[in-house]
Amino acid sequence: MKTHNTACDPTLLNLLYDGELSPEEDATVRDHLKNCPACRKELERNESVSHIFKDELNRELSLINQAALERKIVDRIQKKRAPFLAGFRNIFSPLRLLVPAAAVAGMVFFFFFTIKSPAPNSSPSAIINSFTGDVSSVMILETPETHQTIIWINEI
Amino acid sequence: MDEDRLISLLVKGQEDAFSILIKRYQGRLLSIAYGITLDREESQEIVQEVFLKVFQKISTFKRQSSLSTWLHRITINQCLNWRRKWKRRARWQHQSIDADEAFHAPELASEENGPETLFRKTEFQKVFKEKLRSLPEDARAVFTLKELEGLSYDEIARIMKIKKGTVSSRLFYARKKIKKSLSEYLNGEETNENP
Repeated sequence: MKTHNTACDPTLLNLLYDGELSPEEDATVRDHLKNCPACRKELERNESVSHIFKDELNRELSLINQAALERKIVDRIQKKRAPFLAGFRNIFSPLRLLVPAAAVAGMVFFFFFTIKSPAPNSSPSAIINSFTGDVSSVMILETPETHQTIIWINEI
Repeated sequence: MDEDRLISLLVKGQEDAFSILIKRYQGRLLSIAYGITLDREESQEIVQEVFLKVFQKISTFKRQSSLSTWLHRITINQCLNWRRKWKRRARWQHQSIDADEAFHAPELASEENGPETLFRKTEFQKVFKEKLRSLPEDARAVFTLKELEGLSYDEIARIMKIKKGTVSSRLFYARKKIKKSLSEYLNGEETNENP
């Protein structure tokens, strides 16, 4: 395989470090590294930065009580869940009372107005007007409660 | 439990499924959140918000990406929005209590770690953290996802909804800046030792 004398390319080094090069590019850059201590040093620095970053993060995160955090998260989810269910129940509980209450009210209304209340007196008690002619007589009457008009025609 | 089954149970609202989800992802999401915010309190708040969001929105998860990608995306957005929210409120520079590690000094001096070594180590940690903090958040986010999760450029691009080229350039920029500042620090140390 021919060795290519490629120039130092920090971008390509970065891509090599991250495993983002094609196999051919990877081979070319690795070939270059064999003869370039400066680029090898750059890769080592990438490695150092990576280790330092992870160490620093792990150090900081070790100071966090993860079990307590987990409990907090669970509690917050429970609070979100419970109000929802309680609200759900609250929405529907008046209806649960409303339906039987409406049925009872309906029955009371029905009994009160149909059974308890006296039947309307349909017998007229007020004569509003009357006419007597040669052939017939007419009486106009009105029922007291329902105010129905009755026209009474009597053929003579 | 495989991911599909877990998602199905989460959608049904099963409590155990949420416990499994939290156990499985809390550590990773906390690392990512801390890597971006560099603040222990903020990162914990963010992780709580992420899981709450998952609880609220799981029924809208279309499974076009993996659950992991979705969680990462929510975490990154929460981290970036958190900062923007505080900037909008003109919050004065927050000095996290964990910024002054020098005063915590949990380690006791030993024969191996003399006071001078400890001081230099603590100073180095401070410098490193300051250099990370000086990076733009989106560059820090890409750097964190790559270093902690080992994701490919394509995966990072999908999570952050940016181009692959942008991932590459942000990562390159982040490493370049950190390496330069660490070199300056180390060179400065060498100068101090050899005046």
